[in-house]
This record gives sequence, structure tokens and C-alpha cells, in this order.
Amino acid sequence: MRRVALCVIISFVLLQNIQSQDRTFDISGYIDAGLAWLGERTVSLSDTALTLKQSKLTFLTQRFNLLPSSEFGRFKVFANIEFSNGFSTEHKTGNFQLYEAWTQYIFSDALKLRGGIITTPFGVFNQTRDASPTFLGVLPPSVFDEGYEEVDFMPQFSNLLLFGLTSIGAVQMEYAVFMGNGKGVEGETSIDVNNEKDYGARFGIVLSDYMKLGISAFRSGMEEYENNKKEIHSLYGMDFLLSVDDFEIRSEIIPGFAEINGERFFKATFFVITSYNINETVTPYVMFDYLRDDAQIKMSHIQNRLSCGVSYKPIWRTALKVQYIKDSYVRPGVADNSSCFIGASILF
Amino acid sequence: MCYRMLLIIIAGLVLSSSSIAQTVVIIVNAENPVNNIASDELKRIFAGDKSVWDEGNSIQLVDWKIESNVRKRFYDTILKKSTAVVRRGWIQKIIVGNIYPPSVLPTEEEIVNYVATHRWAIAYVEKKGMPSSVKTITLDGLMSDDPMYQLK
Repeated sequence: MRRVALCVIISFVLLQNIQSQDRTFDISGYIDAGLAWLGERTVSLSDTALTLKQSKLTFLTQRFNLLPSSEFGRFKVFANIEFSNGFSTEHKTGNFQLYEAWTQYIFSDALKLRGGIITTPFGVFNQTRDASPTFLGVLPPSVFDEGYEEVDFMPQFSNLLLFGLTSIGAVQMEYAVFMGNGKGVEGETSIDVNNEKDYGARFGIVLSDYMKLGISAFRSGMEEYENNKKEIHSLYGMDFLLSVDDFEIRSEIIPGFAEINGERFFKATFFVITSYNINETVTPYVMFDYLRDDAQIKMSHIQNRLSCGVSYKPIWRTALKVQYIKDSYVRPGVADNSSCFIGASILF
Repeated sequence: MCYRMLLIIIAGLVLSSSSIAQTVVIIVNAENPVNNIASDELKRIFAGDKSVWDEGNSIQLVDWKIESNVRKRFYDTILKKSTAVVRRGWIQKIIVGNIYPPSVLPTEEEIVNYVATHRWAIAYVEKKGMPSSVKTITLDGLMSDDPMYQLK
């Protein structure tokens, strides 16, 4: 894995050296840091719940993402390599992963083809997920917390994407159709042993300068031959953005179903973020998000999160953030908790 | 008396020259076949939603510094959004790899030079003498001296 990432970096550096007017090269990236004050909390694992005694004050895992990209003719290559310090701030237990890496062929704005490891364009927030410079708070809505990756609330990665946008007068329409390997059963080879594939689509429409709407659908299947286990997850998303001058409301509603060995469970997530740009640098916001998982695979049955905070941008690539979060659970034995975060994210 | 009149005239001229904004024109490289652009298309380009010319070549975007009055006028008239909102959209598009961040240059001379040397570049500048290596294009089919021209 390290060799692959090293090769990607070296390739981009080489490309930089041979760039001309027909070959552009750019390295962007972002880094974030944070500090949290955490109230005492109950952690639920499957059908048990335990109270976790922990430090109230903790530094958050340091992350650093590198975004090299190059364009030549109608081709474009892009990667998102994430470096992190692991769970220890004391020892060198860091790691890195190829978060995204793709090649794109541009037919026109209305038709682009992308192949590789691609962040799935399901809804809007899922396309940037935990990229901290894109959200106002230190933490994104809870469904984008890394812990939920294992419970199939959000499509993770796809491998082939056809997308584009077109416009009729002031109305702009965008679409995406995607397909991927999905969740494969861990095997000794890198070949996908899951007989099912993931696939989905998104359609968005910008109705005016103020309003944008979108709908998404996704289906993921997994067949585990050894244990004779079969799972099908389906998700249906609706996203909405209203932006009037400096006031903005952004929301996504994502209901879905999980069919596990023939039994059907409901799951849903919803979030709404309202914000107001007081001026070019200060943006206070309030966010509410809801998460329900009847299959109770890992997390609590129902979770509500209310958070508020302020984002301050002294210069446009830098954001300093403060966020207060109150989590509530509808589950016996799991107590509510609250936490405060301060953080910074810098895009370069 | 004559001295006072002279002072008033000079003060008036200074005040009027600082308050009258120059007409803003859209420029592309002289080799770019585009001769006209619709304001909706221009808005999509500077909002980062349109990244490719109709011929399939990537648009090379160049912009003024954030403090610039020219930029503020352009964003207010064409994008009709505050720069804070537009910048948040840009950050999202940069992170998912959809666009390159625009080249931000501090002076009109540098912006014109960039467009002159980059075949697929586009920019907006105040209407002054342009070198032959850049081309002024019409906006919604209107020349900059048309009374209906938006960026006067």
C-alpha cells in the first residue's frame, strides 16, 4: 500500500516537471487539527451498553490530505491521499490510505467518464464526506463520522462513474450514474469475491440562483458464500439547498432498507444545517441530525444530534471553528452526552 | 475668487473620477474561437460549474484578488452571490477534484498577460487598451459600449 502511494506521488512530481501549457499540474490539500472536551458517555456495542470512562479533554487525530491532480488534453488524473497519526499522539503509529484515485476522460461538460476509486456522488455531503474545510463545524453530521462506514448508511466508494451537467437557460441540471464493487468478503486476493455489485444514480437541478434540489438512489448487495449470508441495502436520498444572500439552509433526507437474510429493516438519516454569513469571515450555524437503524447492527437504535457553532475565516483558505454538540439516544441504558470542539482546517 | 473656483473644480474632478467605475470587459486568448458569452454561462464558469469549453478544452480561469473592487462588481452583477458563498462552493469542488482553483493575480497587467499566454484562459478586466494577443468578447451579444451592457 505504501509503495502504491509512493508511486502515485512520484508520478505526479514527474508530471510536474514535464508540464507545458497543454499539461497542467496542481497540488492542493488540507490539514486539520482539533481539541475536544467530551462529557461522560455510554458506548453501545451490538445489544450491550457500557459507560466509557475517559479523559474529558483530548486532541483529535491529526489528518493531512494531499490532492495532486494533472490534466492533459481531455484526460485528468486526481488522487486524495490521507495521512493520519493513528490513534496515538505519543507514538509514531501513523498510517495513510488512498482515499480517492481516478482517471477522467472529458467528452464535454455534459459527459465525463471517471474510473478508479471514486467518492460516490450520492447526495451532496457524501461527495466530500469528512473533508473538514467543506463543513462549517469541526465534526460533520453524525452519519459521516467514520464509525458509520461499517453500517451501510452511506455509499462509500464506486469504481466507474458517468456524470455531467447541462443547462437550459438559467436552469442547470446535473446527473451521475455510478457502479462499484461494493462490500467484498475479505479474501486472500485483491479480487472481489462478492457476486453482487453496487450501483446508483443522482439527478440534481439548480432552479434559480437560490434553490437547488437533488434525488439519489443506491443499491448494494453482498453475498457471503461461506456463511450463506445475504444482505441487500437500498437507499433513497433527497437533498435541498436554499441560499438567499448570506442565509443558507442545506438539508438531506435519506431513508432506506436493509434486507438481511430475508428480513427487512428500516433505516434513515436526516440532517439540516442553517447558516448565516454575518460578513466575509464570520458564519454562525445550527445543525440538527437524526439517525435511525432498526437493524441495530452496531450503533444506537435512534440518535439525535443538535449542534451549533461559529466558523471564522480570517483568510479564505483557513477556517477556525467552535462547535457544541448534544447527542441524545432513544435506547435503554444509553445516556445523552454533550461535547465541545475547537478546530482549524487549512486548505492549501 | 478665481483660486477658490479652481479648487472646487479640481476637487470635483478628483471625486468624480474616483466614483465612476470603468466598464468591465470579458477577455479570452486571441486564438480562442469564442466571440460571445452568455451571462448565465459566465456565471457557471466563475462559480466552478462549467470547466470545459464547448470544444472540450479545459477552461483556465484567472481572477482578481478578493479585495478588488472590480471583482466585487463582477460577482455582484454576474454571480449575484456573496464571495463567501461562492468560495465555499469552490472549496468543495477543489476537494472532489472537479476543478482547479483559479489563478489569482494582483494587477490588471498580470491578468492580461496570463490570458495572452494561456490559450484557453478567460478573465474580466476594466476596459482599457488591450494587446492584440487577447480578444474582448461580447456579453449576451452586446458590445461594452451598448447601453444595455451589464458590466458598465
